[in-house]
Amino acid sequence: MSAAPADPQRRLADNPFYVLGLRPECGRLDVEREGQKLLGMLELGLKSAASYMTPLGPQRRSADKVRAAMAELRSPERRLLHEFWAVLPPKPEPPRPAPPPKPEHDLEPFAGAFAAHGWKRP
Amino acid sequence: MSFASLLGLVILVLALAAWLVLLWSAIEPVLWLVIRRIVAPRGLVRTAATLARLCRGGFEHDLRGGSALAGALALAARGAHDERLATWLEGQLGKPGALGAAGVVAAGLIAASRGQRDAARDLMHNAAGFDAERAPAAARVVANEWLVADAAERGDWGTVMRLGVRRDVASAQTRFLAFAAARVRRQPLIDEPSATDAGLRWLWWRTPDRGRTRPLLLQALATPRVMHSRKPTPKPPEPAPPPLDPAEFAGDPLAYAQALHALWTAAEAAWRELSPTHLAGLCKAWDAAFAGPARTRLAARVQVLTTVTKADAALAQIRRSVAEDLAQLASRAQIPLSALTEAGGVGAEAGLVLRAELLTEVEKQNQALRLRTQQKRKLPAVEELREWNSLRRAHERAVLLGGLELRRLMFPDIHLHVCNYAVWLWNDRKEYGISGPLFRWLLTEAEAVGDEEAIVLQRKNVGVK
Repeated sequence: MSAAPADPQRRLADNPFYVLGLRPECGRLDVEREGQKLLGMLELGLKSAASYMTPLGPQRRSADKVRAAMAELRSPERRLLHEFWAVLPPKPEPPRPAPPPKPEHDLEPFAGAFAAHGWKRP
Repeated sequence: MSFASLLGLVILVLALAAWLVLLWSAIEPVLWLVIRRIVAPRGLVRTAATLARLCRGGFEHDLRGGSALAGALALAARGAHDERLATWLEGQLGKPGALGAAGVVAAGLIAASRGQRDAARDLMHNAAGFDAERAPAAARVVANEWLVADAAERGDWGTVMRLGVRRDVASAQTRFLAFAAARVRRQPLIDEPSATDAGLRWLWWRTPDRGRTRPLLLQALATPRVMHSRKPTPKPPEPAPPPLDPAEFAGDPLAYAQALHALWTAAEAAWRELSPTHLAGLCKAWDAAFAGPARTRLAARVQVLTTVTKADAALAQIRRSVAEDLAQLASRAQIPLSALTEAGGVGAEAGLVLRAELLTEVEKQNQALRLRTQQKRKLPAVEELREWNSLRRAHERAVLLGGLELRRLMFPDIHLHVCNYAVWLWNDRKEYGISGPLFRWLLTEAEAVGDEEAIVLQRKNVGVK
């Protein structure tokens, strides 16, 4: 049984259920139908298919990712693992927080530090 | 010619020779100034390297390195990296003979010219570790200037303030940067009073490129000298909400554990705020999930999907993934191994994974060093330093995370192989500049673990000059 990606970030971001916009309880036919639908939408360049939601925010979707997701979910062993890691429902992206104000008593990085010594490149 | 005339002539010749030597020793600093301020900024690599050979007094212990240093300064001043010239300079450094601090600094500048900033930083720090009597002052000043410029460019003003005023190696540029930073940040410098406006202007006037440093001067002058602020302290900004709220899944142990896991492992830079308490909480959440819900869910799905794999095998694989994630998280957030071990359950498994990874990395590099020493396979001095830096960093990381227990465990092998390596460098290759710091490092390690025999040995080695 092959494992889900070792990198936890990729494991969540590339989980086939999130890529296809499905939940773990879906049937095999749902996987095929949704996959084909997304491939068609991507071929037409529809913006609504260009990204998908994960618990940590949106990710870019591509035709290769969709095909890989469908292939992963066709194998019962691999689907079992991906179902485990797709327990969390995808959420809408939280509003981008305002950048914190610059501290009053601090300096910006000095981009010309090396050039000030006559060294053109660090 | 009579004997008296002959004697008079000999004395005259000797006096003339002594006068010429004195004159030359007075000219050398001027020559180095000309190289630094006129020849090197124009990118004249070979010219700078050739002229530096005349500075015999300044680079007494490392004439080859001094020449390469001048050339490397010119290389760093060129608009674009020239690999041909860099290779030529490395060829100068690679000639037989021990490498001194000037050569190490030259190697660092060459690495920096190639864009290898981290390697350059390591080499500059290595040069700082050379004994002062063996390291030419010019080389130490250049190394310090580079480290200060590097820190300033990264915004690490604490390091700028610490290195910029070091008595033996501070230059006009580094002192200005340090004093300006101290003024703006309203923090004191080590062993230095805060600068007045006139003092800041004087320091700025002495910098080589006043145009570039003028904005810093203006910012510093705009900041009053260290005093209590009359304005009330501004409120800290509201912390950004986390991308995921595990509390929403409190009723489902598996979802809760996954949400917490995602928050700490997958969310961008969340690991920076991870503490041992958070990590223990995450381990406990997983233990609660594995205790029942995870297996139940897997068993149900195994039946529906009709997999060949049994639920227990799948659970073991997932548990292993979780342990690896936790180990990676602890390593990234620099949380001691004990925090994982004490958490028990999957935390203890993660602790074993991390411990094995730390020890394996040190062991692998230590064995490579042992083999090379046994086979007397030499590397160019700069490569020797790079390999040593890599082993030292792996060891430091293991000690930071593993504590005294791991330090004691690693010590016998590390001491044996690194000591043999240092002895080989000292006795056979005369690389005193590299091996000296190694003996001092071994002594520090021996004292830390309390190995009396090793302490006696290394004290003897460190005392040997």
